[in-house]
Amino acid sequence: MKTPTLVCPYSRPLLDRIAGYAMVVRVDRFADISRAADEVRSAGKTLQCVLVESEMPLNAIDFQKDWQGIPIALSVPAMGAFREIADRVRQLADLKVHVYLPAAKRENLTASRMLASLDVTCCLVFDSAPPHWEALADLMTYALFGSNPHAPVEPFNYLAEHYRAGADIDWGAVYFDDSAEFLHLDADGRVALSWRELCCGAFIAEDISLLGDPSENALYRNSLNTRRALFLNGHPCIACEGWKVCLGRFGADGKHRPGCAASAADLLGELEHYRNQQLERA
Amino acid sequence: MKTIIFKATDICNSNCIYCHAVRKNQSVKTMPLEILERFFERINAFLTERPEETLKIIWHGGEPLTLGPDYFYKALAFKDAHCRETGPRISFDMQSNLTLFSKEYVDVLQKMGIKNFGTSFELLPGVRGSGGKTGSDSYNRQFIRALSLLEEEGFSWGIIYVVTKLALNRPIELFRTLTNFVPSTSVMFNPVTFLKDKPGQVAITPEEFVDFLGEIFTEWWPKRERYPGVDPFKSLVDNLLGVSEALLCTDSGRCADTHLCVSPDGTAWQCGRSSDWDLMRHGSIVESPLADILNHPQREALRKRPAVLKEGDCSGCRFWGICHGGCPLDALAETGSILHKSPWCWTKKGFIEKYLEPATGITYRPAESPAQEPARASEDEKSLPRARPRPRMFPAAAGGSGEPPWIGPIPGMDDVLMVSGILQQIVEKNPSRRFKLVNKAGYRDILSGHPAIAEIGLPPRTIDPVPLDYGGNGAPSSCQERAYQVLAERLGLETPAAETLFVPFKFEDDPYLMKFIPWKARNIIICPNCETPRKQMNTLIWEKLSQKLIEAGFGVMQLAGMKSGHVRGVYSLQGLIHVRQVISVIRHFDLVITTHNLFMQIARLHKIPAVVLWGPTDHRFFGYQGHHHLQSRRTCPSPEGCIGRRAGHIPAAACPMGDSHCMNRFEVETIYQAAQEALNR
Repeated sequence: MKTPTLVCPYSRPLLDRIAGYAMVVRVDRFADISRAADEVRSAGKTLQCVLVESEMPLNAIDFQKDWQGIPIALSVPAMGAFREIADRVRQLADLKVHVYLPAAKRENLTASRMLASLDVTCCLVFDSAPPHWEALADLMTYALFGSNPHAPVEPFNYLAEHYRAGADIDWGAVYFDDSAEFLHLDADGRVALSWRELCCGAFIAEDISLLGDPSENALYRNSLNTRRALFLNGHPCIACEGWKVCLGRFGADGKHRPGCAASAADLLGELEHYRNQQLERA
Repeated sequence: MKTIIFKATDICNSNCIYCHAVRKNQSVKTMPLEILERFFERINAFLTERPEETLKIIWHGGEPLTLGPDYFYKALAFKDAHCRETGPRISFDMQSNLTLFSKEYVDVLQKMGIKNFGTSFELLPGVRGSGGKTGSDSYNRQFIRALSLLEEEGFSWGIIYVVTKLALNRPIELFRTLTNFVPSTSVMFNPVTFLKDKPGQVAITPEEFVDFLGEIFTEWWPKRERYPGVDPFKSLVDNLLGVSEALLCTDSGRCADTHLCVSPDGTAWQCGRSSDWDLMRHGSIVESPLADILNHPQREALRKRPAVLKEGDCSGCRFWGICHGGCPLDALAETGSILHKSPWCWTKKGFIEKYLEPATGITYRPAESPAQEPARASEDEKSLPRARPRPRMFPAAAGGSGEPPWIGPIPGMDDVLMVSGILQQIVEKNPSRRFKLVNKAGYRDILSGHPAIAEIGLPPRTIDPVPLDYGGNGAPSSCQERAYQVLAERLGLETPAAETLFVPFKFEDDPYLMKFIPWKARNIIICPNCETPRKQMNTLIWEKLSQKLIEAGFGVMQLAGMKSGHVRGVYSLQGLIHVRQVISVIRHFDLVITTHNLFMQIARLHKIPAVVLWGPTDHRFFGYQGHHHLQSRRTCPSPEGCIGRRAGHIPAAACPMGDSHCMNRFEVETIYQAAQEALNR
């Protein structure tokens, strides 16, 4: 396992204890974004991103000039009224802000397209509610094949970059949710393999200093088999045509079928088409 | 290269229901170290006498990992001690169920140069493992634990799936599940085989296996790039196309010279299966050198088998070159003699004839040279003819069933409806005719589902598609002076052909879109977009024209791709609807005003009046009767036009004449008058 990036809350004492890892810092307030970034960078550490979740829609957020140059993952429930953000979109595009929107709301799919067309990178977040599959397919086509310039729409951009025929693609890294790349810390320095496990209190080490080599950790090792274990219990996703590009993220509980299955198969086809197009251009 | 199936142990930690080993419960279950040492002495002697020969040793069993890491270290030590000079010509592989794999094996396996494991996996309960569903659950959990460790240590693995009766009714589900399970999609489907006493709940017939493979092949073939490692399909197709000449031991007709098996007590056998079935025992490595074992009289009989079969059971079979009568052990099990063909030969012949050829259009023709005869063994194998002439892929004749040819449209969408119309005419005349279309941007959106198109994608690197252009080298000399006729001739349609256009879908209206468009009593669509700037008219001229039309009471809408600028004052549908909706919605307009582009073709498709503005291309070559053509006068250094046949300019580059290029010489009034005339016609 390569050295993981740590996703940790903004806590000065915690930041001081961490050395040798790239960091994603989670802040609770917009005011902490630049402060957290300054502290990490001034300590000579690598800041991969500042992560902030807001309950306010994007239009209600006041983008700060001092966010300039800071990679920010901004999670919002919606874009809000476009007219209220229209004159600030240029500012948003100039900042390194990636806007995370829940895919379950259809208007967020439209918002992603609008924002991407205005050079703002967007990322769809898939959770327990299914998205509107047809609208999602449209957005996917736009993200991969839209001929007019636009910013990336994740996870499609990530998938297009990493697609290889026959290989599994885990796009959890888009959400800092891939235990091969990211480990999550709480304020006390306890280490979990994912945000979800952090929230459940399922830690693989009681302190970052006790982590050692994660690949030797029994819980980490078990986590590697989680996806394969689906094959042993007859999970409905295992025979899905689109499994290799979905890996259960569209509907890990199998409840979204057959919408998610058709959508994942479409996505696989689009990625192949995209790859062929790239080869043709090359 | 010779392959030794090395069964150093008969012990296995699994009890698979399809295990066909009849030679069980032997007194020597694991090869004693003195025999192991003798084995490497024999190998060294054999390789020393043959400086060009190489040997692959496949650790097999039983389950080889029951031997423990120390056993492998000892084997390596023996090899190092006895094969100092010949060691580099020895390689190792392993076939294992992996359930006992642990970190302790990593070092020694790496030292043996093993990078890849052949293994097996079964989803169906109760098939693999210690027995029963519980046994298979626990077995599979051990298996997936081992896989993650294996991958972490940098080893790769592929699966051999043994097809039993339990699997026959779910081929697609199994295919998808297995290819999803294996990261590289390296999956091989093999039929379960038995020497005798075929258990009814497990055994299958060759016919059943062919149908099982056939269902999967139908799914695999169009998506084969997605599943690159699936066998027997990939090997077979590569073989038929001449990409590879490698044949499995069962099909090569040369196994007497290529394979050997050694079991724990040192007994030498023809191969791994012969050891399992207690057949074709060829002495012992304890008593005889390898050279003597390879010259055993039973092997001599085996070497004669191809000549016997070619004149007998397999006489006249066109698949001889890729089958050679199949595995002699299957023949022995079924008929009592190796001098018959294998009953499983149907899995080649039946599969190819029933599924592969109809699905792919590839027709296998045997090579006619006698060189395809498998080489007889001799001490100097290099002197024998080994190469097998490549079978050829035969393109379809007019009504044939050969591989559909690849056709490559030129960039841009101007010709897509013409190509579609020509292909439709061809398939109407010859319903079995098919083409493969090189995927160009936009073509797939319109032409998917076309009855003449078998595939849209990228051709293999070895195939040059037929270019659908209008000139240059190779242009037909007898073509009619019309774009449609040139393309028709290129595609093999008899010319002059009716200039009909076609789309492979029904026109449908999106009710929301139809309500959304601000219709007026008479409606005109303007289409300024062109793939090349040389065919584009300045947007300001479009604006003035539109203004005049709007003032005259027309509804004016703009519809094109995203490349053209917005014409102010008109209602724009640019980029809002899919190209199929574009094609459908245009039929509701009264007039199309366009440059030379796809929309001119759509107007023709719907038989709608059109005013077409021509500059660098010639309406006499590309245009349609019934449209109102306005051809600009060219004052540039290319009076014959700068695009199209023999023009030699780069269409993507803007005209060096700038704003004064030919397309900007149109008067608004002229276009307006032409529009009025077209509407009143």
